[in-house]
Amino acid sequence: MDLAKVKDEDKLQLCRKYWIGGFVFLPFLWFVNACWFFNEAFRKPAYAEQKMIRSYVIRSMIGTVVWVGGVVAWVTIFQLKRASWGAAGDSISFVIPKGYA
Amino acid sequence: MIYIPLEAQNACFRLLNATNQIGCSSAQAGNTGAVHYMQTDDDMDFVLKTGTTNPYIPILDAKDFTTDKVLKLAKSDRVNGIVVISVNLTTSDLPNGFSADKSCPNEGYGNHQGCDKKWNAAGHGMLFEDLDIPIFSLTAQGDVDKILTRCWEPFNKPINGKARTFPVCAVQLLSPMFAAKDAETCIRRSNLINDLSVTIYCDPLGDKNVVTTLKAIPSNETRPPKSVIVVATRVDSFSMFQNEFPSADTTVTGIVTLLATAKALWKLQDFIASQKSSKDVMFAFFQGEAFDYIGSSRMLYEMKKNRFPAATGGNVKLQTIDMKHIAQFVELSQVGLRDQDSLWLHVDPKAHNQTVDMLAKLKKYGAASNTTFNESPVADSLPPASLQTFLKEAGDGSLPSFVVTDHKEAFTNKFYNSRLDVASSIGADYPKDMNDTNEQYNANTTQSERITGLATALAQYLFWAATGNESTPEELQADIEDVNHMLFCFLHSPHCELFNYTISPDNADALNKNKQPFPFYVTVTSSTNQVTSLIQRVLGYFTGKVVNGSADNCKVTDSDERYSYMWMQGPMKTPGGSREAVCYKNTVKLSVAESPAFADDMEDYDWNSRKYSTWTESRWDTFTIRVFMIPSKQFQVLTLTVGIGLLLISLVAVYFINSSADVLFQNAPPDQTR
Repeated sequence: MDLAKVKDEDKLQLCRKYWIGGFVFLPFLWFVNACWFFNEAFRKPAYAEQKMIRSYVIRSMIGTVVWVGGVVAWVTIFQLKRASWGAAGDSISFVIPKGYA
Repeated sequence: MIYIPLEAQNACFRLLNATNQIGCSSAQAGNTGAVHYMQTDDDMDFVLKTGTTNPYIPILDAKDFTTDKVLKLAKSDRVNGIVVISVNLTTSDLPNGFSADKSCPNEGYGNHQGCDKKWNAAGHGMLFEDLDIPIFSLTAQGDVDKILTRCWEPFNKPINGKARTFPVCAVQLLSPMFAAKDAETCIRRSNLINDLSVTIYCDPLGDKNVVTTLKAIPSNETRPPKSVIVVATRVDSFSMFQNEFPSADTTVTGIVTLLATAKALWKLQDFIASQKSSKDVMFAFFQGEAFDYIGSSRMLYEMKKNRFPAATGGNVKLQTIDMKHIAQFVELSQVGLRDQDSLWLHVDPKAHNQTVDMLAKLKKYGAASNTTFNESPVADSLPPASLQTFLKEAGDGSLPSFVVTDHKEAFTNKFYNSRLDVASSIGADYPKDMNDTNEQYNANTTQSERITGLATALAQYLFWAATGNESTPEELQADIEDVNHMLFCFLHSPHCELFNYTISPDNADALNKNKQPFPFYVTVTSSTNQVTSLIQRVLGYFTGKVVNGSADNCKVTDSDERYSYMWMQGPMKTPGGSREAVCYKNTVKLSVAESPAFADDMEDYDWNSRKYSTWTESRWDTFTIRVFMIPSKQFQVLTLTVGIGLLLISLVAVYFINSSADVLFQNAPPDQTR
């Protein structure tokens, strides 16, 4: 979809839909929202809906950062500590490596 | 051809118990290293410090394959694996002996806490280290030629003392193991179905014990207390490498002696069975004893649950045997290498008073058959033996017992539990000019004469112990021909008349495909151990009676389940012709020999309790070893850089060509450019 051909109110509605969609454990929607509407929110000359679009984009960026931080933290802990968790670690693993603890 | 594959399949593999993993494993994708034939100490320095084409995989001769060298190499991060040359092994290369076992075998699982005496002086526990490098053993001369003549000499051997540089010849060892950490973990993981498929990581070690009783006392008759004499030996051994388990003195001497004794004693079976007051004699061949007494501990477990030799109920079976029925326990453990030309009797000090008469009688019978017995001076401990499991249960000295061995104090066998325990070291090999296998099969060797004498003495002793009467040597003479045959079949080739006679016709092809002796390693419970089956068959033949039968009705047909029926291939009707199958009836039974820790009815076993053996063997894919050339690291980096460079150049070139396509390609027809 080429945003240049979309009306301003429709742009706002689209940005809002992506923002709400991200709450059902879909952080990638927030990331896409932030990237796609970045030019609309910060670079284009001002228009009526731009203030709302800007707030949605900023919130999406924050949401993305929080999710990335959480996922990185969990993956790091899991990779470092799974072996020492014994049976508990095995029960939450999908693929258990062969030949290693 | 880039790769030269070798045929060796004898790699060191991983075993796990409740707390550790031991043995070896390669990385999942294999371990590669430059080949270096290590023969001197300078070579060791080269590999560990000065060589420039690291990492290395050193090649060792059998005489250099010692525990301290292997540990030094395994700890270094410049060494990725080890290859051992084991062609034409002669034990004379290793005057100090070699044993993969600890100096105190089965430490902590016998009747002592910790190590009571260093019985196995040649053992430094190489198998019990956790080496994270693969180790392969080459037994084919072709493999040795490939790795030394085609790989080491042309490319890696220093010229005039100067080391060679890249490109060098390297070897890749692939022996990746599935299981890790310890038995509890790998068994737990084998039971998980996390990724929607079943992966088994390891299997418990175990097999079956072979057992037979002289008097087939039925379950509807009581068995008086202290009325069973147990005479036992051990079947299994281990070594560093898969497929290399010859076990000549470690167990074969005991097995062959006990089988010959059984045949001799059974000559008077009818007489013994007819005496109401005579004791029963139980012959037991224990499996899994090398791994913390798997077979004997399971037998005791079954005894305590009143399920040995069979749970009562339903048809008539053999009456159960329990600790309270055991009158005495005699065990044979390594009887081939006689210290000072005598056999040595080890007695538990607490039972000494009760064994005085027994030992005196045994010595007397020994004298009559040219076999000397003496009492071991070791006063405070017993060698590793299945008897220890039963003594733990019997408590303070209530079990008259002794172990017959060939060592006065520490082992005379310098190759206990190793791949070097071969026939030649016990005098069971044949003169170099005797090449005909038939001649070898029937040849008297020094060892077979000794075993025959021991078996005769033991048979007479058991007759006296069971009935209280004396017998003459002629009545219970063991047959040297049987001993010759058995030594040939177990140590040289199973493609022999005795095994062919006693095997079932269904298994004949599988038997005759094997030209190498069957290995004496217990393997895992789920796979059949051929040695156990063959012992069962030979014992059934020696102690059984021929009955009329055909292939269909050579089995239990009435409600009497005391007996076993074996359909055997039988004798050749004419030399080289077909065989006339025959049905033998006997009381040979197989009893389960899997550690009680893995028993179906064991609940909440405390894995750290060290009460039962917890040994498991890891699973693996195939073992592969291959040889090829490798370039230097700089060359590999250069190749990669040139490749990436070419890619970038081509991207840039395509971009420029594309953007000026209309300038470069001017032969488009006029109507298309508009």
